[in-house]
Amino acid sequence: MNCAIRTYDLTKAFRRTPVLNGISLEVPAGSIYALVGPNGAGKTTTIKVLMNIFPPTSGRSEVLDADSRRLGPRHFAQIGYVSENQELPDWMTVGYFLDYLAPFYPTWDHALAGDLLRQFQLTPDRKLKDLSRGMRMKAALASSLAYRPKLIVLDEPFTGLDALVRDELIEGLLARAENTTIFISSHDLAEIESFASHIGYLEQGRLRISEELETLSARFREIVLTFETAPELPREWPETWLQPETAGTVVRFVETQFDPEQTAANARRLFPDFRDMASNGMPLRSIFVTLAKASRDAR
Amino acid sequence: MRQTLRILRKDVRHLWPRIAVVVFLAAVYAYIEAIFPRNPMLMFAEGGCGLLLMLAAWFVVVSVIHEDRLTGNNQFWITRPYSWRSLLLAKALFILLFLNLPVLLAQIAGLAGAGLSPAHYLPKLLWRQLGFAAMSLAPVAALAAVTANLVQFAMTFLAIFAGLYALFLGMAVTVGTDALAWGSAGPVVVACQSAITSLFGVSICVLQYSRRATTAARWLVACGVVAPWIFATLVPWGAAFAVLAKRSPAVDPTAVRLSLDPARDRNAWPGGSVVRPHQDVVGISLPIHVTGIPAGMETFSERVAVTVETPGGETWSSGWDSLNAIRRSTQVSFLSKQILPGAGSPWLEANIDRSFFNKFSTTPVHLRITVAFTLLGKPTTTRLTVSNRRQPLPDDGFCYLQSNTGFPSPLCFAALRKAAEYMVRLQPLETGDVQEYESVESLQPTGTLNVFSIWERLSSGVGYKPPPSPYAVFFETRQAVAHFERVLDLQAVRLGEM
Amino acid sequence: MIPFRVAFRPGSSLYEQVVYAAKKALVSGQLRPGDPFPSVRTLSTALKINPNTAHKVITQLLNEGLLEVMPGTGTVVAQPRESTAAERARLMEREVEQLAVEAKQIGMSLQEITAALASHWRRLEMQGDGPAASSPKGERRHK
Repeated sequence: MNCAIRTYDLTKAFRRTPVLNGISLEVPAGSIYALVGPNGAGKTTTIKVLMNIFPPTSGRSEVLDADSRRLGPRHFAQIGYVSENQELPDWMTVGYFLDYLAPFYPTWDHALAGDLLRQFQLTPDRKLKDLSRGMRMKAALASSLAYRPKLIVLDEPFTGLDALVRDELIEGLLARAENTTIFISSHDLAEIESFASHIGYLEQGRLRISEELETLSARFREIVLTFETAPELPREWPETWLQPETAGTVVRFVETQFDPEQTAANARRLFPDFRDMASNGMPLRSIFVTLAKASRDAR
Repeated sequence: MRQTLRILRKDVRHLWPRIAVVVFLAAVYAYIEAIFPRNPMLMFAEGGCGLLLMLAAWFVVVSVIHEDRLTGNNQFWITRPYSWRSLLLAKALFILLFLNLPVLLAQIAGLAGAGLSPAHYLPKLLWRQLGFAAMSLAPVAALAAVTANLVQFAMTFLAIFAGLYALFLGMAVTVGTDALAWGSAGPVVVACQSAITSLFGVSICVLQYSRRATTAARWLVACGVVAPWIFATLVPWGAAFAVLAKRSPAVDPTAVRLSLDPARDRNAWPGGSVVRPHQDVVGISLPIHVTGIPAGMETFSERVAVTVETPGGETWSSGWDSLNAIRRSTQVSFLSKQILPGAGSPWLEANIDRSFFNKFSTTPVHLRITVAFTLLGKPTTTRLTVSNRRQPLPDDGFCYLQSNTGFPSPLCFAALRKAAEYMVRLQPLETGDVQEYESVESLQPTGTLNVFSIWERLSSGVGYKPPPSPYAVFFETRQAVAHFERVLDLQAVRLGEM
Repeated sequence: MIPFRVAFRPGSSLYEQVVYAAKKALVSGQLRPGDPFPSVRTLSTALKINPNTAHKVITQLLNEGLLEVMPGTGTVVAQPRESTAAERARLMEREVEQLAVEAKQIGMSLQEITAALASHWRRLEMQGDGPAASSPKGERRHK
């Protein structure tokens, strides 16, 4: 298995409202794939289709080499799923919840479960309904990590949680992330930027970007051209340059296919007399704001 | 299946208080059942406790199904390695162990406490449990499987209840209540309805557990609610009676024959006919003989079908009409339908459509009359005396004969056994007429809300007007022993002469 | 605790930045020979990076001979080699580039920036001697 998740032109519509419009993505085994996008883009729907909570309207998806529509107990024994909306059996205590789930998983590790409880500072005899939101997420995560799943799927796990709890969740997750594939959806880019290996950007049901984070970061640059005198602006900007702005003797744009020589050459062609070219890397947040603005302006 | 046991234990762990309530109510019920023969005034307590037990059982069914809810998309278990078969089995096992079993044990304890042998009645008790599970628990489970919580369940349940009630009211007003009086064929139809209901119940559960196809399952629930009643409306009475007739009879009825009495004056029958609202019919009557009834037994006509064929090829058929009957007196009660061996000159009454009658009253027509008979066996007669004592009936029954303000009123019960007919006879010890009061269970279906009771009521509890002189009271029951049809074929008769 | 600091800059490879920071710490003597180096798990959870990335970092440092595996102890800092001028220049490349770009942007000349640099250098030498003392106090990342 070299891809933990694969989708082929996945489409999902509720009644007549389309939510996903032909998603094709690949999540390599062992990677940490972050699915990001604005609210309502379809991230949760994608995950629910992958987990066979909904059936797709058309297209296919494969999870751990099985058609997602045929996911059964055998597969779920190797999948951990944590969602902010998941309903837990509130009457159970944390300890009983884990003890109850253990026999369902052949690979359950009781020692690991104990470690997780300690790491997350969860007391076994507190009822799930008495836990704060953050502790519920930690309990849910503990119950999904204790059997060393091959695939961990997290749907907006950080929503509504304070910074400390987020930190604890991420630490808990990364500590057990070796030999595991993680698929995480979030609209919080700062958190995941440091540990995601792949990024998928979902907007209005379409996957606009799906690639390794390194290559994405490498090809996006904020370019600032400085001139002696205010330059003449071209009538048409190159396709790969987004959000061009100008103020006096400075022209600024976002290059989406950065290459040190090629970009400089293209800039030189359009602006033969710039004095200085600065290229600055962009954090993920800026990249996606740029993309969102560009697509909003295009509509 | 270890998963099944795991889930079962989890459900017990959470729901044990509700199970305890059911067990407690079952224990109370067992006690009431055991002391009932000595205290028949506990009838209402028995009914009330039985109702509470039923409601508690339904509550537990809904609770256990909602423990691992099937509607919605956010339950924690749908992305866990739950096998749906194990889950469904765990719920079924829970219901069996903590609802069926306590009720069964309560019934067994009740029998034993009353001095009867549980082993003797075990087959009937088990059959009852099957009925309880199929007719009551399975539909409730199905409805629980398509609802999200108790409130949703309760509201849907009440809506269904109200809908069915309105349906019955509508039917009673338009078609008339006698259409619902199925007589001896009633249990056949009810058995089919039960099968339909439990089939839907089980299918809905399987559909929901295997696929969580809530929308489809809800449509199935709607169908399952109306299907038994559509069936009851569409299935012809004749077919249901034929099922009864096909069963091998306890007594061979072939000797019973129906014939026309040519000697009697056709116009001697003064009786009018009973009609339904909006019916425009003319009543005809025929003098007949019913011969060959075995000694001591009794027969009566359930329904009569009349077909008239004219020489010109026109026909009219009444279908199996319950208002057509063979009667020995003009009283419009069951007593007049009772035909005993050798007694009296009975008449056959039938209704013919008025326009058809007017058109062909003088034409010689071919009249074909089919009568559906039920044969009741020899009676079991017990003499009762007015007192406060409990008086035993044969076959584990008992009677109390009280005299409220001079009107004797028998209260009789038997263990897990109904009578097809019961008769109360007040016989003067010296001279005077015997007064007889009867009821036939099958012709007047009495609904029992109390499905758990081991004591079947054999009498109506009504007080009867006593004769002036000293009298003895006899309580008589009969069982149905055969069902059969007889045909009277008359060629070239004139309707106008009847 | 990670005995060196990584200030993440957007736009360049996370892996390279961690390797870079680790190398600086090793070359500058912040990590002494024999000191245990953080494991993949510790590196990953402390820096909030992908364990695969952490794994690549450690592998790279092992390949370059900056770390070695001691049986029983795990990964430890290896004996330092004398760093060549070229290596040192490469380690400082980013900072030097940034300084040059920004100075040029505000219009400083090469002499001006060299003079400013020299002035700071002399001040540091007066404050404390040796490269070990020159790491500013507040930069240790405690974890």
